[in-house]
Amino acid sequence: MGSIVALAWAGLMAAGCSGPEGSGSGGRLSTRRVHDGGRAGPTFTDVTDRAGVGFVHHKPVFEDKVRNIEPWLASVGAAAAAGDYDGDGNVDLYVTNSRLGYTNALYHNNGDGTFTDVAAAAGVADVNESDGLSMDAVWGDYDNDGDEDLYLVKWGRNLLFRNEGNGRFIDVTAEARVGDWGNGNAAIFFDYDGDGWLDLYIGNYFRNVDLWRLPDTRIMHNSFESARDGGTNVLYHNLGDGTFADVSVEAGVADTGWTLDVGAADYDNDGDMDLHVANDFGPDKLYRNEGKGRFTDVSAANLGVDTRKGMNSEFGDFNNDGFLDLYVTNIMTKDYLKEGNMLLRNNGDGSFSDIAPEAGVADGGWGWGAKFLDYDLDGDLDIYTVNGFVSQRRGEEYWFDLATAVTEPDFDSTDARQWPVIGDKSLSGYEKNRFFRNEGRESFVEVAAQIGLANEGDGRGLVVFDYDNDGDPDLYVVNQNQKAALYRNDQDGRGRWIGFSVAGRASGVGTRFTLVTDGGRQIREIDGGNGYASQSDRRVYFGLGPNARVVRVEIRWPDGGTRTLEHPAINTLHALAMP
Amino acid sequence: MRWRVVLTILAAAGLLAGAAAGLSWWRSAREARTIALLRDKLGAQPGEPAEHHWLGLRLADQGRQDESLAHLEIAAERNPTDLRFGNDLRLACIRFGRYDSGIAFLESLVEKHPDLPEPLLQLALSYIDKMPDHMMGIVGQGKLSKQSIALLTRILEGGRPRDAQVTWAALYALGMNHLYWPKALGHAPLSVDAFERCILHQRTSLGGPEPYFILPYLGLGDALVKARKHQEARRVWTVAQTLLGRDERLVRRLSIEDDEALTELVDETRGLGVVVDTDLAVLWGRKP
Repeated sequence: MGSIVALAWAGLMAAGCSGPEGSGSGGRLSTRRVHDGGRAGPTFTDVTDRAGVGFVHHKPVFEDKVRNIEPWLASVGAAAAAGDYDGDGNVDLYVTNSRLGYTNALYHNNGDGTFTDVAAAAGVADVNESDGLSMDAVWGDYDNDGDEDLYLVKWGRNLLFRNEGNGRFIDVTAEARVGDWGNGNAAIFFDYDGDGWLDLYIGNYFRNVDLWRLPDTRIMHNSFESARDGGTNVLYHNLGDGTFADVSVEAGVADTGWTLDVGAADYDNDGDMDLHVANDFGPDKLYRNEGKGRFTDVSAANLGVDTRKGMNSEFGDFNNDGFLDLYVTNIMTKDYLKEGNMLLRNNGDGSFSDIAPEAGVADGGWGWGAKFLDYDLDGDLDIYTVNGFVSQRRGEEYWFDLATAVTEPDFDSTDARQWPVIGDKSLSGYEKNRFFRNEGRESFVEVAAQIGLANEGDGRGLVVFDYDNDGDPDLYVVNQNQKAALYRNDQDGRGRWIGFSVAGRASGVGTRFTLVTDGGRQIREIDGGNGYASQSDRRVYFGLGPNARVVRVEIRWPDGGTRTLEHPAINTLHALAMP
Repeated sequence: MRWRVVLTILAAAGLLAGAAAGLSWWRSAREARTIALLRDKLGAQPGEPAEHHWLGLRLADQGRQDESLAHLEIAAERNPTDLRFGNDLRLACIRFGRYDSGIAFLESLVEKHPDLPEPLLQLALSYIDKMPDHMMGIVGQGKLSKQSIALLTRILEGGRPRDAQVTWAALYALGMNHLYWPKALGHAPLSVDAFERCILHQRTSLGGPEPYFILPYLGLGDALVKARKHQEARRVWTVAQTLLGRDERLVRRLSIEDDEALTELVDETRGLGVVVDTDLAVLWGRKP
């Protein structure tokens, strides 16, 4: 739930000491909006119906004993994962549903701008059953046979589907030993130990209870800002023989926060992938990969204090300084809770600084999925973030009830029965998604309305992918209990780009690209599913801005090997094979 | 000749500087001796509350947290109705980030003296003091605020005789507590009520105008702005200016003609995450 959270309202009240006028601390969260017409650059066109991907998500239904907060409990589950499961060069989509008996979709990309749902034939449709409902999905070639397999995260028993290479998948959960019961909201494939096999990290939210047959109503978090009583996250080590082993504790990543997203990337440029865990109701975590199968929790020293509601973990080098930064969504409301999203600038020494307020990217509403992308191909990364929690009756807000209740000293937040009834009230509903265009010098402007992306659905997962193979990033947004949307990026024809796909072990996850042009350097890293409830195109694209050529591209493979491409052709997708 | 004058002046300046340095050293040494003597004395047997208070403050300046707090607690415990003792203990807790320690002590003091308003007031303020703790999220802050409001209400509705300054401080703190809640939660009218009572109280029970009388006027106007009553707010500030003279904070507010800009100012100065002054020294002379 996100968040859930809440509350905060903030309240705040008073605080401390120093001058009746107050000396403040809380900086203002400002969002710069532009009205500069043409400068907004390319626009997006909603092609959902034309493409045939108007998937309607259905939320879960719970027992009567938690009916008072069912809209809250049933507020997640809309997820989407991009992957070319049939290897035809067109990126397909797997989309989840979260109601018992409702099917998930596998949209096969036909290569002509349309998709066809083949989930039933592929054997991955009918997965929402009494053993659990879908919350997230991620593609990865766990068995290194050259095709993408599928891992499905559920509130219940997760599932691993092996791609048989003939358009069909088979459930190998039991034999792979990755089907423990849990209440997860996130999963990521990455090779944490560099052995060439994709490992799997699962972010769990609720404790390990059966949400569909509740023994009692004490299922919620014990704090709104420092909760550590969520489900325990799991790291499955891929043994290379089709099976996995749970190494969470030995590796030091058995996090017990209320995890909503996990991200992996090499933030310290030491050649291995580190972990970021976005936790609701409390501190996010940064685990530095020490090699030899061990991680160290460096959150306190490198991220600082965090009492917010982390919901998204996305890495990207927005300021092109050679270090991957982080964008974490949180909650921001005008009247109640002013926490705001975090743009964590990587300082290059292992530490991060939140510059979101100054950069103009803090106010993302009730944020969920968010991604870095260079939508205008100008050579720097912009940010798209989707938002909105529960959109029910307009004008009737649950915030007041919530903020009033949770600040009562004797309120027991763990007991769902004590929560005020939501009924048909909204909670940060009907929010418009935000698009922050990078203006350089660590400054952004909000242009969602100008470029056609101010959707007010209850956004959850966000996929960035080039579905039409024209070199620019398109977007697929899945909305909770609502219809999804596919946005085609329509360039003006002047943008220059270059792209790379990687074939090889572990799906190429962890491969680092450094692009050198006459105008500077950019980096990208292939990830295994960063971003809330979604997985984006694993192919890597760079916008070139005014640069008419690429001087070279330096590639660092996950095993440490390197390759350099001199003057590769632009406006071209280069297919690379790992050595 | 001219050189002689210059040299004389330089020599005199040097002597003066030396004397000043010497005097400073002598004072420091004397204070150090006094502190040492008092530590020895109070270590052997309890002294007067004022001695513990003095020593606690000196030790705080030296960064000796545990010793400082121990002596300040003794002073406050020996004389729980002395506002200075409780106030300085809280300020030391803020200075050292020892919020929980201060709260625990004051809670025990209230338990021992449930009918005394002064410990209740200090405890209510200590809850406010903890809010800026960087580990405290806004829900936690809201809970602290509600606890503080409950204690302040207990003081004001207790019906027992109390010092007029205690009543003023309780009303002012109550107004400030409500003022910092977001508008949407509907606390602004409660804040207005508390500040109005505070102003009435200072007019009728505290004699001639004191510098701190300006504070509830500022708060009342800000609460009225939060309640979307901008014109009423301006009237309050104008009255305050007439009664109490020029104050930069009043001038700043009265110079803003646009209602939304005024709201913005109030949100910034009374909004989320903005620190609140709980130092009661305004009652005995600190500039408010």
